[in-house]
Amino acid sequence: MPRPPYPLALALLGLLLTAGAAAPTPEPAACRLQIIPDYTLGITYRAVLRLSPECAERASLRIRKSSTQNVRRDGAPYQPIKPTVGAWDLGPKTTVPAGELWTLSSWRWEYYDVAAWSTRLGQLGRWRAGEVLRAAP
Amino acid sequence: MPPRDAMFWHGAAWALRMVLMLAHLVFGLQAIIRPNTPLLFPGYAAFDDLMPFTSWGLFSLSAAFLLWTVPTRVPFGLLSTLYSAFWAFAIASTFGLGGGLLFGTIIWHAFGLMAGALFARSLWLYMIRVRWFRRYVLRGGQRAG
Repeated sequence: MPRPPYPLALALLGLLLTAGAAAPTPEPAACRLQIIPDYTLGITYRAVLRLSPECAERASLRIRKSSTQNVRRDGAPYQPIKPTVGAWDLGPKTTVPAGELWTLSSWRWEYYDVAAWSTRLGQLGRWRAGEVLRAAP
Repeated sequence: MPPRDAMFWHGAAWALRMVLMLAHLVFGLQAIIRPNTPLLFPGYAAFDDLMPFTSWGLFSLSAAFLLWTVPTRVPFGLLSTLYSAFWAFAIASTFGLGGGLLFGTIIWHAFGLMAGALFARSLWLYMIRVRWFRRYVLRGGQRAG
């Protein structure tokens, strides 16, 4: 009776396929902030803020503008630009003032992700950077 | 009305060249100052399928620079008008792909035809001095043209 070809290779292939089938499926993308720079004048740009397409119909995000240069004393990553005003809402009712849309290149827009784990505070809820979109293929 | 002399047509060609230069300049500046218009406006949506919108702006500015510095005479005038016509038709087609019938589609096709007219004029002014062209085309009678 003829022997089957390459028995070790077949066994390895079977093992790989089973492992691939048992791999965890990627979770769907979460609702996040997207920034499209509109008027770009060198070091500054006027941002167009919007929610990502995965967001629900009437979803609302808490957003703020933060410096990428300064660090808070207690170790928080970046210093918010308007610490007394705090954050604004983006959603069905947007409270961001029109003048605040002009963003210097050393600032960035952040949104509050309630589902992200904060290792610094040891709890759920963390400010994360918004996604900056560029018009390229 | 008596036929216009050559000075008039030289002036007309210069004016048309300046108008085309302004069109390329304005489009190029707009593309560099607002590089994300393909994401924000549906009519511009097809521009970023080929290359980043700032590249469209830089090519437009290069066409404007060539039109400004190079007079539409042979030999380099042929190249500058052809380059401008190419980019004008490319922009017109991309507007058409992104939004169908738009003002941008129509006007850039018009600019392409204008640049083609300048190209044809400078080519004609060259060819009427070429011997075989004079013999076989201009005086060829019924077998030419």
